[in-house]
Amino acid sequence: MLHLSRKMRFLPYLLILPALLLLFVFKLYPIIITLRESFIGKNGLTLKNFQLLFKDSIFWNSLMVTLKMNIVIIPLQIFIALIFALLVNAPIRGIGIFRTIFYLPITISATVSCLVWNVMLNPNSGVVNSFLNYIGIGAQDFFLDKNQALWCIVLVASWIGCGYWMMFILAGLKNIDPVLYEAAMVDGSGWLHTTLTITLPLLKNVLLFVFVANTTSNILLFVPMQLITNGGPQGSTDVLMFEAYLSAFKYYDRSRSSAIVLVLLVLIIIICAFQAKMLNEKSDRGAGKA
Amino acid sequence: MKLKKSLALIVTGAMLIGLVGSIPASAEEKPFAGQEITFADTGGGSWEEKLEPIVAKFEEETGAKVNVELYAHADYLEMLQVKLPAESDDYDVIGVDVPLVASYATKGWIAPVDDYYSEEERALFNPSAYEAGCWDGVFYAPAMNSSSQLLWYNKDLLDEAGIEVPESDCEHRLTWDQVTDMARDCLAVVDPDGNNGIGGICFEQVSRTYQMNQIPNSLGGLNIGEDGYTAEGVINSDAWIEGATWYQNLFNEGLALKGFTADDASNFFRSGKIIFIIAGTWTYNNLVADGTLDSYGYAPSPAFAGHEDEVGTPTGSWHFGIPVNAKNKDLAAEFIKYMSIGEGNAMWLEANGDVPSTKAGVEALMESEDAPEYMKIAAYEAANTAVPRALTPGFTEYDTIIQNTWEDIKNGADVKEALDTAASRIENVMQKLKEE
Amino acid sequence: MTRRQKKLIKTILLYIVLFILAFLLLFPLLWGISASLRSDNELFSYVMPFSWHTLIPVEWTFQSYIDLFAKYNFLKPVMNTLFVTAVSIIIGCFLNSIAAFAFAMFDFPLKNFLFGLVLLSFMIPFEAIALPLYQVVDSMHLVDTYQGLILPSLANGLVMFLFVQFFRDIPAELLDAARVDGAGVGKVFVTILMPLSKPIFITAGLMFFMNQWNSYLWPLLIARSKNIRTIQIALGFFSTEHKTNWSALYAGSMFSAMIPLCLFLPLQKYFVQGITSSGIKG
Repeated sequence: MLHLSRKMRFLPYLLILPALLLLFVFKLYPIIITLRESFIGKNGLTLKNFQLLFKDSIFWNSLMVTLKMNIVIIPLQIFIALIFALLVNAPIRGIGIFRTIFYLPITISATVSCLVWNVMLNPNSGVVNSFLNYIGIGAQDFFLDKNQALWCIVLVASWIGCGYWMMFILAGLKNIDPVLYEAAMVDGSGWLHTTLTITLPLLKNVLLFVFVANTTSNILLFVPMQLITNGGPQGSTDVLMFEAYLSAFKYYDRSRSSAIVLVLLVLIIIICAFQAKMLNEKSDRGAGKA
Repeated sequence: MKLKKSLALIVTGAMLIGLVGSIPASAEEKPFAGQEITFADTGGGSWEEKLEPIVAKFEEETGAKVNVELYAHADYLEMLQVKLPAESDDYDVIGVDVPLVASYATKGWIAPVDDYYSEEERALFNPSAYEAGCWDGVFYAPAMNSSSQLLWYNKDLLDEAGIEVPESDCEHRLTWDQVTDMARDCLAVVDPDGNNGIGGICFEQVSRTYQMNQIPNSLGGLNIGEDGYTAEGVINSDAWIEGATWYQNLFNEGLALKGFTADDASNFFRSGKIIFIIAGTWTYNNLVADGTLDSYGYAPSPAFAGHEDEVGTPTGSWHFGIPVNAKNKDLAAEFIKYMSIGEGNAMWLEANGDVPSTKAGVEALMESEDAPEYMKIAAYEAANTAVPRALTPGFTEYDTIIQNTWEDIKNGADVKEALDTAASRIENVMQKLKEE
Repeated sequence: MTRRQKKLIKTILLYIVLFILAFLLLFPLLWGISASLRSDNELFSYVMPFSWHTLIPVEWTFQSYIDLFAKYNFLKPVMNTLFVTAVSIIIGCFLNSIAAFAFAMFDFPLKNFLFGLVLLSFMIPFEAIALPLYQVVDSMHLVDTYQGLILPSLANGLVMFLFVQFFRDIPAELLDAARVDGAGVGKVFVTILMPLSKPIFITAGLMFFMNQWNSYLWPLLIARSKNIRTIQIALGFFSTEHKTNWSALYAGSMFSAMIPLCLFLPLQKYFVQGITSSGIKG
């Protein structure tokens, strides 16, 4: 820490003022409006919005879809990102190009990605089905099948996102002292063993960050639903955030939308706390063994 | 500095005096000289050039300035949904999708225009177009134009299978049985094992309420109860179940393909991948632009056998509204009159090839010898078989639910169950709206 | 097998895996580019049955790209987006870095509380607050202005967090020494901190870039007039009520994807460095 003379003691406030002011006006104040809308009805403080929500079967379906998707997509994306990161951390020629290619989908806007995937996965005119027909597997309904649609969205979202999370994990890998690997090599432990016992525990902090950021972004994911499935078929991709979007932008039911957003925030906080606890326990055990 | 400032003051002052002085002089000719309105509408990407001369003419005649802001179709309604409740005064005139008139009116977003239209002027509209612009007996939204749908077909594909579509007209329509038989026979020749991706029958606006509801309508089904709120017993009535089952069977039998969407069905039809399509009058101009008009034919919408006198066709299009906070309502009303019953309307119909919503427009079309046959069919449908979309303050909710239901039915959901669910969902939303 | 042979086989295997993954990841993009080089009718004629022409145009045409600029005036939204993005990057980096500097370097009352607010803000999704935010911006009369597009994105909790973590690791002695020399705080920031922080500035810049470049919902609400329309909004104009101009839509989409690609390629090394050297590490 640096120390300031008495005369300068207001300097830190001056430095944070512009950013915090913007943060307050454009981020925190709108949250306060959201809170107010979800708890205040015509006659003052009320829980009516939540009562209505909890009686609503659509809400419960959306909650289940949201959980179902996230239980799969969060570990899946982080697992793939980890594999990608380990691959592109290899010290071989031209690896920078692969790193860029793996990262590339995130730089394409979600609207464009959804457009392209939707057309590619079209049941009777999509290039994927043309190919599946050609090799004899037969056409699939993809986004139009209630059992496949959600997983197709998981596929698209992972195509977009894995490279992004890879970059954070890669940065973590770069920070691991090579001496540790060499020591393991001398011990004669294999690649898998080294990864599990040395690399992963050392990635604890970076993984925690990625878990939290990934959870936030996936629980709030709704652009593919908005652009491709509309929450269907038969509500199979109707996640909570999409319901919130519908309430806010289609039905003009702001109080319902605000209430759903609040439920989502609580959900995020619970999941992140759970992840933090899991990771801490795991690494403690790992440390115990070592 | 000082000199500059005082100069500026003098110039501004002179301009003001000039302005005030000039108003009486030209008031008779240009009643709105110097005034300005902003007109927001859908049509971004295609209406710009068509509207320009029409607006220019209005500006010329009134001396007013009209700022036109056109938005992409997919974004426009959402934009309004944000702006109108925020009590924005950005717009003086907005385009209103006709089924939303009731919703905007009950929410108090648009102002009545009763005072601006005399009895005679209101009588100029087709009764169905006038009523669609009213809610609770008050006139809110004059129509710009109407719309209608025809059965279009690919003659090349049908020729390949040696099939000729029988003659038909509005009094003697094809039946859907005839159409499905032709589609089946044709597919057996042009795409026997389904590898060419050709669809037999398609509704251009796949799953959209506007077009799909014509199926139950043509079997005698209603869109919503008389009160504008009831769905139970309406949406899941026998007519709906029969129609939706028929529609689903098209897919089960392979006559219709699931992959076509409202965004690309027209493209697939024009690329020779669809045999029969129910599509709008605009199809004609698109085919002309492609230079492939000779390969295609058209007929009035088919009827279900046994329901020949119940044919219902989609109708309605864009109307105009004045937001309650509009800054210049008088000029806004003047502009709307010009665009709905004035010269601007005639220019617009011509430019966009749309179906008229005024009696005079329909008559002119029917009597004209130059008017193409497909427009005459459309005008006939608009005046005789058109079924307006559900008149309800909860149309957005209704529309979303109905659209998802048609989509689910298409993709294989149990018909009865899907319609029951839709009915109870609509009842739920309407209940909430009634309480407000 | 010698150790060297083993290593060679491993490397070759690695390359094979990398190539397969790269192909799978690139395929949608390559397919999009191929689609953008076709005419509208060709797009729909060759999808079935599967043949080479499903993937590769029969007649290559750049017409859609020409239309994009000649007919649809796509350059204007591109320039708008670039402008908004550039301003956001410059001001955003500056504001967040000086705030982070204060958080990282000084102790002051309420610091932890204020930093907590920063962290909270980055867990709040933009979509969740879009509507109330619109009211706020509307009441400030910033609808349809560049300010309306830029201001809400400037203070970014995640970026500030990365800056703070990075600055914390800079040895205090380095800075203290500078102050003994008599350099003012401003000078310390500019002459010592900024050169050391190149990677984190680039990382922050890229994050701002991606936020602005890809944002859709906000410009849709706030910037619809022709003059300040951004790329994502302009793309919507290829789909009209009854007709979609698919090849122009593909061309516009691919063009909008190429610009970040060109920027990211030379900068990706710094991006990793930036994250590496910030606090989120092993």
